[in-house]
Amino acid sequence: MLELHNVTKTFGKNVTAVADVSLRLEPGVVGLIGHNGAGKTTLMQMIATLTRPSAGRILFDGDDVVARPDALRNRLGYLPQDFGVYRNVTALEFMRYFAALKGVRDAGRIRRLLELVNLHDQVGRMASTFSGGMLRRLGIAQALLNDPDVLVVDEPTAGLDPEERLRFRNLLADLGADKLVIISTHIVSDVETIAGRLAIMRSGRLVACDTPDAILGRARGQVWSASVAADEYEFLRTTTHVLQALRQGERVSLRIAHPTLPCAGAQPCEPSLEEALMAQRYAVKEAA
Amino acid sequence: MNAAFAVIRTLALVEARVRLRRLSTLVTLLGVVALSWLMISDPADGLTLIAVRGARVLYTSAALALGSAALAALVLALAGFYLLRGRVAEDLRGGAGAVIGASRNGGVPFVLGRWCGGVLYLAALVGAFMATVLLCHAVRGEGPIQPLVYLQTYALVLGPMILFTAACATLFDAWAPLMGKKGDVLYFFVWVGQMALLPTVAGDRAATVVPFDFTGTSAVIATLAAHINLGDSLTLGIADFQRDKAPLVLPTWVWPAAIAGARCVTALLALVPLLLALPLFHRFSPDRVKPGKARVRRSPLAVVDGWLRPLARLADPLFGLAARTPGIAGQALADVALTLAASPSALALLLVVQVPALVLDAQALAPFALACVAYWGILVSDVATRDGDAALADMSAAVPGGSARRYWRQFAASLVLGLMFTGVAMLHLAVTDPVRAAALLSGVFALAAFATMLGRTSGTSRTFLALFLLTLYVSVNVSRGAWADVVGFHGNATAASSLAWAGIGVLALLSGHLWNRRALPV
Repeated sequence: MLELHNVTKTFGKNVTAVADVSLRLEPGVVGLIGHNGAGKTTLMQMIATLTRPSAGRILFDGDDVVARPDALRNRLGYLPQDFGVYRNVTALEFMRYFAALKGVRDAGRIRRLLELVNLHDQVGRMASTFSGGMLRRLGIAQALLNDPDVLVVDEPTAGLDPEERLRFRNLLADLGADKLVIISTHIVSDVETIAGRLAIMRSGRLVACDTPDAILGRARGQVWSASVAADEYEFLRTTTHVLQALRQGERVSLRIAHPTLPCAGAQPCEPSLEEALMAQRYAVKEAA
Repeated sequence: MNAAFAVIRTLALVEARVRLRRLSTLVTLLGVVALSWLMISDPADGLTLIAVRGARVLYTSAALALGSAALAALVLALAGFYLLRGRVAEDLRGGAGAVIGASRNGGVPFVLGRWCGGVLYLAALVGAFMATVLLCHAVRGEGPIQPLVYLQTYALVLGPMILFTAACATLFDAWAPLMGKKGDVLYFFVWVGQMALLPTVAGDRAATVVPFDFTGTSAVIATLAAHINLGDSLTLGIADFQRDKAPLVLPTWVWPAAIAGARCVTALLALVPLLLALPLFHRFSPDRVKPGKARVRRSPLAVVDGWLRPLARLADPLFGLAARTPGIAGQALADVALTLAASPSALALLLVVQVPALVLDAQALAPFALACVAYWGILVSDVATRDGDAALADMSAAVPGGSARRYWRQFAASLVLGLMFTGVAMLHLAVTDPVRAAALLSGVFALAAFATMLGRTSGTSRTFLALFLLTLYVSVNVSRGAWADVVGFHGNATAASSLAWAGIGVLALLSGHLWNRRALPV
């Protein structure tokens, strides 16, 4: 469906934001994970046809998206990380405007989408008065206007409260049943329960692309739990990768990522997806 | 006290740097360079900078400094305000406003820092302007270049103007009711008020200095009058002169002490808006400047739009038509519909103007059409920038056509709106005065092109708004010359001048298109 062949994006002469990324994506939810500055947003912007790769090709159903961006734009829904709304425009007018830009003639679709995101009783309200969660739901409704085959969503849950995040995740999971949904995030919990595949970026490179189970499988035996004294904790901080530390009186309860037994008394434990990523150093902070 | 000065100094330097790095500064500088070379005409062409009773004043340092400073003051008093404006809105959008408001330096030092930054910035622009005038002096001057003469005149003429413009920009940003487009338009009338002082001054034989003339034109006229018998004929800027009359010469040091003293008083008066800004500063209190909601509540235009909100439904069919119309035409219609839906008062006005456009006679039609153009220009000034202002640039670039087509559809939408406001008047005029109708059409076309090009290149609606209002002002006040009659107000426009404006519009559009393509990240 969507293929990236050796996609590279450079800014100026020295800054390479995305380096030689190759991917083949089919319908389903794909989580694009990496630290801030890993190149996720640039890659998403290239997929969303906002910016052209410096090298490489992006194909959508065989069409070269770089040469003919409208081949994808007609079937694309895009929700950027940060967006606002026009002044003095109601939610319905906002939707009508984007429907017109996308050539969506079915007026009923706007109503259905606003119902889908639970904003149908707010259609006459000025969109500028919406809360962050409502705004994001309006954004996703906008992205779905043209019934896209590819939905690109950048940091979708930023600024949402827990209930909104859950609702948003479920909505994206439902959409992923028959569409390609690419979710860029550095919050692993956003995608761990809904993504069929995780593409992990670091320093502009794609360092892994696999199912969550495969990533978890590789981390088994590398994540440990232990309860240590405070001075030993200070030592372990310098020699191992401490994932979690919880002070309990004089002792500190730890979860540690390490390829071998990190300290006496440590027990291997079942890693979470986030711990699995940390254990494999996929998501460690970008080098300065 | 030293700490407060350090804060003000830091804020001022940051402000000046932030503004100097903007593209709109470059655009303005280029405009200033063009202006300086345009105003210091080559006498070989029969035109001069200062003409008195038909005789030209020789291009010495004193004359060039006096003439160029007087004309630059008029332009920079207007453009400078719009360049300085809007930093508080940026703070609000970027979230820095709340941080500033919560800091202990959120009050007086902040306002003073912003004002000082504005003064520094305008002083830098004036410095660049002076450099270009000195260059022009080297080419066309008729005496030695005397930098101190220039510095004295620029300080006395442009100094109070800089202080006043920066103070107004600070006040208009500091007091919530003056923020936004309403404040922009209000300042234009403040500037026009300054112009209104001029006929009184020119007609006064004693040539008195008006203390509230911050642009310094009355002081320049009084200074000239102190050395030359002005009689009843003084022209500043692109002036005709009689070659057979002997040129007049100004002394090196032209400023009488009394007039220089009066300018110092004016400089003090220029600080009044700053003094008002100090107690009125909103300190980014969400009760006073909450983005969006507060603005809607406070702006009279927004209140009127609120009352007229039911009228916005009239734009609904346009959205439907836009969705059914394929390609760029449909997208341009969507932009038209959005503009009207967001401004029901524009919709109401659009309905109202059609009747007089049909019934007025040709003589009354011209000012009526000009009023329509003025409203339309303000309305469409942000069509090319609103996506960026609302942080929707990426979202609206991911639709078919992308950002490359967006540039053209925004131009098309501005033009269509222009035709909606002036189309009936244009057709009516075409019956009685087709040349005037053609001038109106080409003027609207060129202005729509500039609105889109300047919006795209500078990223702010203010660049166009300032130039648009200036153009209209010049167009109304220059009663001769076909080229100045941009929209056929005086009936001086010719087929050639209309074609020229259309051509300039095409060039503006193409340059904006090239910029847009270049700006697309590759």
